[in-house]
Amino acid sequence: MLTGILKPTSGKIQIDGIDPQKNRIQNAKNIGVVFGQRTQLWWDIPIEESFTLLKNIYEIPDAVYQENMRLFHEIFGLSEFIGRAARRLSLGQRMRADLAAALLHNPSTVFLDEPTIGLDVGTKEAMRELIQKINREKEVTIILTSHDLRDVEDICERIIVIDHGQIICDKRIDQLTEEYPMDRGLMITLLNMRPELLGRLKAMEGITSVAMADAFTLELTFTPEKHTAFEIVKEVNDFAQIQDFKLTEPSIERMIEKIYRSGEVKK
Amino acid sequence: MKRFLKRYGGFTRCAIEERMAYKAGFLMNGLFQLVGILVSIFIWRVLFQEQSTIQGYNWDQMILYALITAMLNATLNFRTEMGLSEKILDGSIASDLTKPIDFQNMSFFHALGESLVEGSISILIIAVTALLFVDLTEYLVPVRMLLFLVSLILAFLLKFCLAYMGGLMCFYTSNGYGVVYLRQVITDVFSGALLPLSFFPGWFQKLSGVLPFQASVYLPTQIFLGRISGIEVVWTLALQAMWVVVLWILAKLLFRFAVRKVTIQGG
Repeated sequence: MLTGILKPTSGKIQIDGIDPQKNRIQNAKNIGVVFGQRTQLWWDIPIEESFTLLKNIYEIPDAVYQENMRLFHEIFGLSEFIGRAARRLSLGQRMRADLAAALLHNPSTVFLDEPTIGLDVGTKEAMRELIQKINREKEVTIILTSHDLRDVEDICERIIVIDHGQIICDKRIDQLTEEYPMDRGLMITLLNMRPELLGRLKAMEGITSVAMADAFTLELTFTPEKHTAFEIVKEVNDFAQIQDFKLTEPSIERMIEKIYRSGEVKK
Repeated sequence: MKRFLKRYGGFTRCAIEERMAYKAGFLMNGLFQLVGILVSIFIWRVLFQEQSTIQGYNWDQMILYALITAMLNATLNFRTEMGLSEKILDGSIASDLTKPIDFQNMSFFHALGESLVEGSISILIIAVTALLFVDLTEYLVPVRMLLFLVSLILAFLLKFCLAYMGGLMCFYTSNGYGVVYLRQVITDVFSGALLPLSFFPGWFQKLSGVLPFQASVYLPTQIFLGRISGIEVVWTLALQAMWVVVLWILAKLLFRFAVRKVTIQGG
């Protein structure tokens, strides 16, 4: 919808004051789009030629084009594969080329639809770094949709959660962490647990949930401001023999899970 | 105009390069065409053993008719048409729609590139077979050739409009093959690509006379063969041009309407 392809059934959209449905072509000049699932590069001809085509389509002035190409060579390492056809690139290379292609005409807004889909962990990480770098260097607005919440966590400043067509949350990430305090999780494997342990823990301030995952595994979450993990472990140690424990860091994934739940409650 | 050509010309160039990427496929295409042409020549040869003219066509005229139709069929062929349908069906049209370009213009310049490649090999084959089987002296009149060329260009434009509108139907059908096939069968019959229209019963000739299809194959052949001459040629060209304008506008309207149906699978 934001790119002007789909028409909203109700409501209104504006990007930089342009209605993308009425002025698709006008709007298209200011945006860049990358679909992780498909490429906009020509399959059988060298990447370089695809870029030249884009230069003509967007009527990019020579100076701007050269400047951008220089920058992209530096950031994306385009020179490794610019002479090759898209079908002969690895997925990671293709994503880099696609991202460069979307940025060639200095768009003010870039839409990234699942930009890390199908990439291995290392390449994913590199891709995220590139996106952040571009965001800083070219000062473009980046709108990202992703199922991989690590993308969101690493790249975004503002987060919008949509559930069944309704915006259920629209906040800055730091604001969000304040509202939904990020509890840490603790998983402890125990032997010879004394029954009063659970009661003890539940009574402790700052422990938000306690449960036994199975006969030997205790799972709990706690607010780091109130207790350190060590304090809790020490407490548990008084009532049982600890075999092993694991600390889990708060993740945006958990937070969003919470947002979805609270959304459901309201309904 | 220059600016327009610079923006869209790239599609023609890239399409040419892409078609040339698979040299074997390119050559096989030519070979298939040659076989098809030879088969039809031999069939006509058998038929002409009994009589010297069939429905007012003598041997030379008949073979030239078959050759010109074969050439027109080779330009903007099945593959080009399927390419357009697939773009709509697999959703890669989305990338094109995020660019500041008109989809119809883009498709045209793309089809032009592919047709230039396929047309060039086709012209070669046809020129050689014509020299082998037909006495050409009577037909190579400069003025008539020029008018024929104009008629060919108009026929190509018309053929594009028909194929393009057929492709747009894929917004509604979610299968491309049937649509393209149906359109080609209708066109083949009504355009005279199968047999000269004068072979058909009177009512059929009247019907095809008011439809646009004949202007894409039958009329150019009649100009080449000199069966239309004098001021009538001008009227014929005007009729072709009229159909081009009407169908081009109709296609634009259809696109506006059809694009609302966009449902991109897996987006």
